[in-house]
Amino acid sequence: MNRSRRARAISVSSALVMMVGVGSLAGCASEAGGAEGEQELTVLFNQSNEAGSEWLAKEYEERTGVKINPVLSPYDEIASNLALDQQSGANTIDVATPWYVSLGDLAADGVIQDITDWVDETPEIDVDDFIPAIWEPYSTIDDKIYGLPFDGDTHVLFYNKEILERNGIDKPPATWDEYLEQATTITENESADGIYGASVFGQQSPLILGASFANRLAGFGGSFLDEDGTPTIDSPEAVQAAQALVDIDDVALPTPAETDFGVGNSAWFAGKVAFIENWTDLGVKSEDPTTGSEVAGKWGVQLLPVGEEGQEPRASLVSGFSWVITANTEKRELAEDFIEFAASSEVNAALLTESPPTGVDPSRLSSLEDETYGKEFPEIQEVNRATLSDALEWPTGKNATQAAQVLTDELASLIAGTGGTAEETMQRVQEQWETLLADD
Amino acid sequence: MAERVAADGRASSRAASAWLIAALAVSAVPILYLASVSFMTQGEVAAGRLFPEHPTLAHWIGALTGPVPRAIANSLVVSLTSAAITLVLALPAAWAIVRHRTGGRLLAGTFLAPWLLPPIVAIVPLFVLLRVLGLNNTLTGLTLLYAIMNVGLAVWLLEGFVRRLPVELEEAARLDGAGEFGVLVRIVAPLTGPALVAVGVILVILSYNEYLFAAFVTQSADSRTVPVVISLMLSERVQDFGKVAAASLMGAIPPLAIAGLLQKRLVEGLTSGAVK
Amino acid sequence: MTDLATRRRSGPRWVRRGFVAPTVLVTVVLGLYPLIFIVGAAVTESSLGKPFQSVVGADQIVAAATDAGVIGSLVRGTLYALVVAAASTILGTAAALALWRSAFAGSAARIILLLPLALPPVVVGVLWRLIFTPNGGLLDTIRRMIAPGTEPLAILSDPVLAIVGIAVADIWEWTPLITILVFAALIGIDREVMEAASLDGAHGLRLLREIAVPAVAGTIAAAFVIRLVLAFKLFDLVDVMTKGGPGEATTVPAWLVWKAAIEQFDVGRGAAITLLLAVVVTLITLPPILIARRSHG
Repeated sequence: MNRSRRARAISVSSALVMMVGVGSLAGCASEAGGAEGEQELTVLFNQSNEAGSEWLAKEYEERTGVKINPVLSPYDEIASNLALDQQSGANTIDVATPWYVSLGDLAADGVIQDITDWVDETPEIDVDDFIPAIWEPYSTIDDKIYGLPFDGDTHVLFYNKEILERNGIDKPPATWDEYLEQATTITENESADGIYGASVFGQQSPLILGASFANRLAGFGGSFLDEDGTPTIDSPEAVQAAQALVDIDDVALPTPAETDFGVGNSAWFAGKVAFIENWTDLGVKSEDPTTGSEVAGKWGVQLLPVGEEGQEPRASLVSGFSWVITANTEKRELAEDFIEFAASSEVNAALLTESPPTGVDPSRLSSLEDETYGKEFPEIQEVNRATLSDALEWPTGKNATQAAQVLTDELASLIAGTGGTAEETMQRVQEQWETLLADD
Repeated sequence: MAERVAADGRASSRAASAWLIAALAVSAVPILYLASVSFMTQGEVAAGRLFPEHPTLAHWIGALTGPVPRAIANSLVVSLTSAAITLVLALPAAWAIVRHRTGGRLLAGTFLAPWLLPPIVAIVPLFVLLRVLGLNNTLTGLTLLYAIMNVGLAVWLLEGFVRRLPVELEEAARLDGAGEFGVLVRIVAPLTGPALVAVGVILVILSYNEYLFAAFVTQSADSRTVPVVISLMLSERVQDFGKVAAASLMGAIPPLAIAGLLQKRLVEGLTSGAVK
Repeated sequence: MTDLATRRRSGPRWVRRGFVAPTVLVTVVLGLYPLIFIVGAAVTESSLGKPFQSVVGADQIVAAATDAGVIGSLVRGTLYALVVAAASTILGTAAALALWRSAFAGSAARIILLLPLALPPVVVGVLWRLIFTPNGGLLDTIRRMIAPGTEPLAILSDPVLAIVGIAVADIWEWTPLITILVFAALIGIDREVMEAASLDGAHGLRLLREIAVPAVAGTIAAAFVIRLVLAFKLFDLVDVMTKGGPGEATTVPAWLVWKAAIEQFDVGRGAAITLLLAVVVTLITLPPILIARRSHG
């Protein structure tokens, strides 16, 4: 009787000792080293930038001998992982690439560093080279700089040429109304074969459903905030945008509410949808054999549709990411050096055309005009130029993440039929936004 | 035809058999579907096929060479160790509550209370605790968290067992001069052996499958557990359900094996008095 | 029996208790520590990066308690938990009885019945999301085979059916737990009791109703409690299958807490909602707990 209990006690304690041993080793390995000899930097990346993270780590180590530890996080958890890491005192992360919308909340919470002085003193960063429409929202909160743009991330409209031809459509749509008409025709003709007019991202997450809404808002000429920072989310344009989402819901790939990036992109690669709004790197992926794409050579790309004929197309900055330095890092200088490298023109240009595709879009004027980029993907380069003029950006100040969630939830209800009319829905959003985003 | 005998010693009931077959079908069909998907390409899945036309092993091979085996190892180490710790903590507590009415109802409630709630907000203080102990972002830290989290459930389940133990044996041991700890170690623990196995199996399965804490505590690639790895696969920009299915099934093999191999022990253990 | 033992306890009780106390103490402290934090966070303005910024007293809790979204979520969560727990318990007990009364019930049967329980909830979510996918999922494929030409079934996008879809997955996953608990209790019933009853002329359903089920009533009640608590904590399935949608249709309390604390950094609000949930859960689970304790005899 004794023996079995003692045996168990011994095995448990030795297991514990082993665990602590292994655990502390693992802990040492995962925390940045900081000892003499090899230097390390831990960088938190978005899951879909995995290929990019590997390329960056390799390149940087080759140039400087510094080892980069990439940590991947699902796109909707980066900001919270970052905040938890810093708040709990774990401080394992030195650099990160959060969604630019969370910059304000991260700054307010003291999670990231103010890098205004460093940027001002480092002309090599070449701030003027950043695409202007991207620079401000991705870097600045209340006149202070907290980040450098990493990934432009605008949406454009991809169309499947074969499907359009089959259905007698000779030109892709210029307005959202045409888009609806064409998609409806295609769905009516071919849905029995599992082919639909459009794939619309509608999963209830700001980065997903929010993107679809922002694309339409941009096209109709609306904005989230006006110049004074007051919400204008109940404007006629916003209501039109919301209505456009409701209208496409019936003819899109069933169903937008269950369509996240994975589902939507898969349908596109399988040639099952005629239209999809997506980041410009979808074109790169469509041609890349490693993604299993069946639409290589069969697609075209153009700027997003607009509200009325002749309106100027606008880029919609749906999910860009910024380089930030964490508040408690002990490697400030190393971190600065790394993000200077990572946000540089040369690196941005290289990431645009790497295979496997890195998922990165142009953030600088110079990389936008990069030769290789222009040679291999001229169409994509062309549509990215839309960012040069005007772009629609999300609010980025304090409570911006919550505001984005409120909008997403209300839109989801609207589409599901439980939110009343588009006008009622947007008015509710406006009220909540006025409280959330009021200037303190 | 010889009469078939059921578990209760009586003749087999046809109604029972029919219901059992229905239950078996309901349990098995979705899993068979998942297995089928794991051999399909994404195109076939999107096309709505039930069986692959051209079965491919690619997903399984990919799962073997990817992060899954490492994740399985991590999950196993964490769940087995934390279950052991939980049992070591829970048995004395259950015994104290039952035999000594230590702390009475209040103590019993205190154990159960944390288990009743979604642990989400608790992540923040537990993170700080781990940092103080120097265990953040380690599997050791995760093990500790699981061990604490499940004590309430373990105590609740063990109370019934302990209650059924014959007091006379304990009395006898005390008369022989054994102290409290001696009684616990030499009498109570061995007698509750089967129950400890049964509760242990439940704890292992619960810890192995836990997602929320694991997602926050295991940041680096080589310390991820199975649920985290699978969840990451879901948030990739290109969906491949076949790949996710293969990885999921592979990652589920250990708990399935444990449940399968130990189901007899599990039942025996529970029969010796669990929640009766 | 137990009373006898305790009453005969005399002498240095504290010394004796002391030997067991350390483990108990450690467990209590580690278990209470997060609870204390939650209470503290609920009465202060706390964000993920900066907890306990300033004391706001009961305001935050009151604000949460009067928020329509929170109330809706708590009501939804309660109804969901009760229905799912009841369904799981009934189905699990039925399966246990079937196992008990059928000769087909060998090891193979028991293993197959246990399979859903062994899968990680994330995997269960993926699986059922696949089954419910409107273009290509298992359900949709069956629909096309039996009723071609009809509209696709989009369960998880339907404001009313979404939570039913999640409930189906939830019930499928956890019912085996009830099954093994009740089955174990059934085979522990004294053979003699059963034989005596059947000699008395009780057969089939009557036997079940009057002898078998009451004999394991305590176990069924305890299993119901466990299942109820698990259902109240539902999170993983919502995260994988619907993200709380469409709209608020599947926003269960745990999801609401996660959104508040983790997505919006408002740990104070998350803690307030957690406390409200604690009250609700305690109120709802107290009756079954008392029944279970009483049936233990």
